[in-house]
Parts: sequence; C-alpha cells; structure tokens
Amino acid sequence: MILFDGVAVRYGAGPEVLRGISFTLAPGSFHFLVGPSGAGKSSLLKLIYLGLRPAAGRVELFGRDVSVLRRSDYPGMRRRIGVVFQDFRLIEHLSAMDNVALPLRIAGVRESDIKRHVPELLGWVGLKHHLDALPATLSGGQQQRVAIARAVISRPSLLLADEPTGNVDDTIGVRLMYLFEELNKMGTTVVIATHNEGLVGRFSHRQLRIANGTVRLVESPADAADGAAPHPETSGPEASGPETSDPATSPPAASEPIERDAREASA
Amino acid sequence: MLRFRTDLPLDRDSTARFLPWIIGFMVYLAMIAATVALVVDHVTQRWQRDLSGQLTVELPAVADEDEAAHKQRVEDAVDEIADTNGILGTRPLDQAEVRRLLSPWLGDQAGEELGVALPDLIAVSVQPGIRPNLSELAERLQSASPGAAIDDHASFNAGAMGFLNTIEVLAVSVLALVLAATAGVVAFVARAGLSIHRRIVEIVHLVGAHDSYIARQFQAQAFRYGFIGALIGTLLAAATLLLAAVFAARDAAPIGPAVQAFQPWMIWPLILIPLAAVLIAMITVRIAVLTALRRMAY
Repeated sequence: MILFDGVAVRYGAGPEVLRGISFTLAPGSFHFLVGPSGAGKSSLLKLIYLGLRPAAGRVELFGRDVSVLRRSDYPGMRRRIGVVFQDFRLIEHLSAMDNVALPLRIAGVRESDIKRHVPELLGWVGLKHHLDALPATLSGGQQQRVAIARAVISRPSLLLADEPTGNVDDTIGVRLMYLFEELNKMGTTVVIATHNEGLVGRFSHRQLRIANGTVRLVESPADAADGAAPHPETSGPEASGPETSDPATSPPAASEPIERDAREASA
Repeated sequence: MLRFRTDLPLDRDSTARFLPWIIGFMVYLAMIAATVALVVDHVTQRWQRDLSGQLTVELPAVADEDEAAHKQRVEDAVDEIADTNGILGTRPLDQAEVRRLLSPWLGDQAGEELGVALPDLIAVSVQPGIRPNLSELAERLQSASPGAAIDDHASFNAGAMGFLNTIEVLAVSVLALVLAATAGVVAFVARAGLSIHRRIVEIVHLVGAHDSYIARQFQAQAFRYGFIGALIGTLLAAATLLLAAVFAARDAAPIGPAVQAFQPWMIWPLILIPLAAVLIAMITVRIAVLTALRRMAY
C-alpha cells in the first residue's frame, strides 16, 4: 500500500525535516503516527497524499512510484485517499452537505446518488440536522466530523487523519477513533497522526514514532502479545480488505454503531 | 440569472463584480467598430463598382478648326471608342455640359468671355467586369484626334479608396483591439480569482479534482458574465444605431449617407460579435486557469 525507502524531506534550502525514512504499510493496516508537535508528522502525511515531493528517497503508493507520476495521474491517486486535515480545510461558503459531497461531485457521481448517500453519512456521524449548516456555524467537533465524512464518503483505500482529535474533547476523540476503526474493519488502511499519547495508549495499533527527523516502527503491546495482525514490514497485499467500492452503490454499512455514538454524543 | 453550482465562490470576488459591465462596454465598442467597418466596406465596394464602369475621353481643341471638321473628328473618335471590346456606350458631352464641369476652375463664363477653346469630352460606359485595352484605344484615338487622352479616374479612385480603406482598417483594428482587451481583462480576473481562492483550489485538488474540473468552474462564470455583458453591449449598440437612424432622418444630418449605407444583412455579422465575446471569454479563461494551475506545486 505505502512504501517509503530512504525518504528525506526538506523545505526550500532549509535543513532536512525528515531523513532516511523507510517503512512499509500493508493494505488494511491501522497505524498511529506519533511524535511531538513539529516532529514532521504532517510532512510525512503530505508525502503520502501527494502534497509534497520528497527531497530524496523513493515513495510508492498503491504500488506506483510517485516520483514518476505525471500531474494528470495525481487526481486518480488522490481519489483513493481520504484526508482529514488538522485544520479541517472545509470550504467556508459550502454547507456541510456540499462539503461532504465534494469528492463525489469531482468524481462525477450522479446528484440523485449524492442526495441519497451524503445525508446518510452525515447522519452516521451525528450531523443529520446540520446538512445545510455552514462550517462557521458548527462547533469544532462538528466541523471535525464533517471533515471526516468528506474524507470517507468515497470509501477511500487509504485514510490519513492529521491530529483528528486535536480540536475535540476526549469523549468525542474516542468516538472518532471508533469510527476510524470501523472503517478499518471495512478494509480501509488508516494512518492517524497524533501527539495525544493518552489516546494512542487506549487503542492497540502499531505506531510509527517520529523523533529527530527519523521514524521508528513500534508494535503495540496488544498486537505483540496476541500476534493477531501481520507485521507491516512483512505483510502482503492479500492482508487487505476491499480497496475501493462505488460510493453511489455502497452506503455506509456500519451505520448502526456510529449512530449510536452520535446519540451518545448528543446525550 | 444563469447561476451554476460552483465550489469556488467566484461571484464574491471584487475583481469580477464589474466584469459584465466591462464586457458589455467592450462588446458595444466592438459592435460600433464593426458597423463602421461594414458600412465603409459596403460604400467602398459600391463606389469602386460605379467608378470602374466609367471612362472619360478628352479631345483637345484644335485651333481654327471649322464646325464640320470638328464634328467629324468627334465622330471618328466615338467610332474608335465604340469599336473597342468591353465598351457599353458613349456619350459626347455638349459644350454647355463641358462649360459647367469646368466652371469651378474657369468661372461660369468659361470659354466664352475668356476666349479659351474648350476640349470635347466623351463619357464612356464600360461593361461590368471587363477591362478594355486602354493603351490600344489611346493609340487608335491619336489618329482620329491627335492629343486625345483617356481618364479612367484611376488617380481619384486610388485616393478615395485609400482613404476609405484606411477607415476600414482602423475600424477592424479597433474591433480586434477591443476583443483582445476583453480577453486580457477576462484572463486577469480569472488569475485574480485563482489567487483569491488558492486555498479552496488546493482543497479541491487534494480531494481528487483534475485541473479541468476547476477550469470548468471559471468557464461557467465567464459564460455567465460574458452572456450578461454581451446582452448589455448588444442592447447599447442597438440603441445607438437606432438613434443614428433617427438623427439621419433629419435634414442635413452629416451621418445620413452612412446610415443609408447600412444594409439589413449587416445585422448577421454584427450578432456574431457578442457570441464571439462570450466564446473568447470562455476560451481565454480556460487557457489562463489551466496555465496558472500547471504552475501550482500541488
């Protein structure tokens, strides 16, 4: 799914922010990207969602070397990636409904399908009554959920979330984590960047730890104990779940537990 | 009116707010310039057609020539002219007509009180589309009437046509400049829009949009503003032409001949101008946006 080999990142003529980064993430895996603020987590995510080119090394995404991608190849790759940005990056003049519908409209999905699936997903994240709300009228947590809904509406093969719990309280943060786990069970590869060690400790997932510009892979204690999941370095593509599906024909299958979460959130 | 759903709030840009009026003004100028070009071209062609169908043969006066010899000399010259291929007809001007033609230079009593012998003039009509062999005719005329000269109005024709052609070229140049300026303004507004909405453009890119998806949103705006502008410009131009027709109907209006030269068929090429303006706006925006997007890092 993702392969980094000796990757370095440098902004302009500045020093290397990241150097010698090498790791492999298997399809269907779930990883935390952990490190203190400013360690380079966002830069690493940018490399994955093609928002940044490496200064050195090789990055492979979905089996393709990104250094040889043409500009016209980017949209196709990006449509397989859902990104939850740290600052949400919602479009201010668009309603929650239109923000979430954006990836579908870009992909050319029919309006009738959009009108059916987007409200369903927004209901799934507890925003059923905020379809027409502009981002400015929503709370931080609600905006976060709109951003998450936008990232997952097209059932991406890979979900990247940059500090997705950074703007919400612990309760909502944990609920969002349940949402990501739900997606992971449906086959999406998930990478969550966070500096919230408490949150990481509550979930048994592997960690990519960034410090001093380098990345170290850490097995979670639970995984190490039961060996339930394959090691990302050695796991093959057969370990993955379904890579993609048509959002127009595949409504969120696990709506029940999320709606329960949403009810809990509003309680 | 003509609202399209867009991800970029292009309608809110202050730079784009006046675009329909700017396009409207440009379309107005272009339509007026095109009207001038069409009318001048029409007048030029008509004038050229009229002048190319006429020749004047001048037979200089012969001193002490009696009436019979004079008459014979003119008849011989007329016969020579009539024998030339492409000649439709000849009409010798009588002395009164010649005197009238010369009066601006010699006064009303030209030739009588001054004692100046007047030449004979023969008006010759030429078949349309046929150019008679004038040098051969001039040689034959020398035997009938020595010193005979042929005036095909070439020098006057060349001067007048040169003047009209200059006006026409100027009008076409104004038309081209106006359309080029329209393209420039539209491209500037599109680039400004891209800069203003750079953040949204980045988001749209990151969720998988092709450059053409973003360009289409700008094109939709260009179509909308271009259409409104074209409508404004067309209405203003139509009002101007109607006013010109009203003024032309008055006596002594200097624009009368120009308005009379306006032909109903000229409406069709004029209508192409607002349509071209909309098309130019859309194509320019597409090129400007795609070029700018290709320079963006993401």
